[in-house]
Amino acid sequence: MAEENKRKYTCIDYRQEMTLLALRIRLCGDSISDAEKQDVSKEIREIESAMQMN
Amino acid sequence: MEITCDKCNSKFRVPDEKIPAGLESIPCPKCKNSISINNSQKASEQVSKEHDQPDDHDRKAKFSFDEAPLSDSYDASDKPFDFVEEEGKTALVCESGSEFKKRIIEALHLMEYNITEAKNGRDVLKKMRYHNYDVIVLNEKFDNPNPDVNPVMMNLERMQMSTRRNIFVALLSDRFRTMDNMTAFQKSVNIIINTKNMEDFGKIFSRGVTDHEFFYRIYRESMKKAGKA
Repeated sequence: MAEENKRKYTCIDYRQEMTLLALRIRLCGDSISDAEKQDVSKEIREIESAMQMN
Repeated sequence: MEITCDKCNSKFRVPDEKIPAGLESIPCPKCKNSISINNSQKASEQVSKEHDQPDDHDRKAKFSFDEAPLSDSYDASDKPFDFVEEEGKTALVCESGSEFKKRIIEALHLMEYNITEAKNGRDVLKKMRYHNYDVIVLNEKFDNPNPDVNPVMMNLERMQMSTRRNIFVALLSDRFRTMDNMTAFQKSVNIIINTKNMEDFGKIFSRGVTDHEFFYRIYRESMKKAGKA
């Protein structure tokens, strides 16, 4: 029963994780402009929310 | 006979006459675990049958291969690989165009795949319910003119990762470039093949499968060593 209740880990989850990782790396980069930083931060927040990390 | 997979606990009913004499194990249609067919299990089923003496109607009703929670009746054509040999590779072709389909089947035959052709999206889902294919070749417009809402792709991306990683999915598209890895990632497939490159389908597909096997080789070997494969 516990096995059935366990959430399935799918391609969608994997893709979200990888996208989040890439955006975080981009955010830490030196060459990022302020405008892009804002866009990336916004996108990170959206993904984190979709992944129920907040 | 009722068979239970001791890895994923799925229950299956298999007609006795479908089990070849001397067969000791079969792969689980769900998780591919090797399920040993216990002789005593066979014997006890036999005794129980003789004891119950069901009439023909009851006996027919018993002879289904459905997973326990499902109630559809058994149709052998839905499950063409009930007893595929241990190393046999299986492929599902989801392509409506006869010219493309011919090329795909030729290439897969050369690579020694056991091939199933799907009629429509519903048929694909039905077939995938009973068998974990090694390869799926899917045209993104198969059974749906809008490639962004292909039901087969939606099913694949919602599939559990432990199952999905054992399937190599080649997506045929007229929008994306062949071997566009970023789009493949976005679409949850392993390789994109543009329909303009169908003449080289065999070469491209073979390269993709080789890369896929190489990528997962260490992982699979480790799983095997850990007794989880």
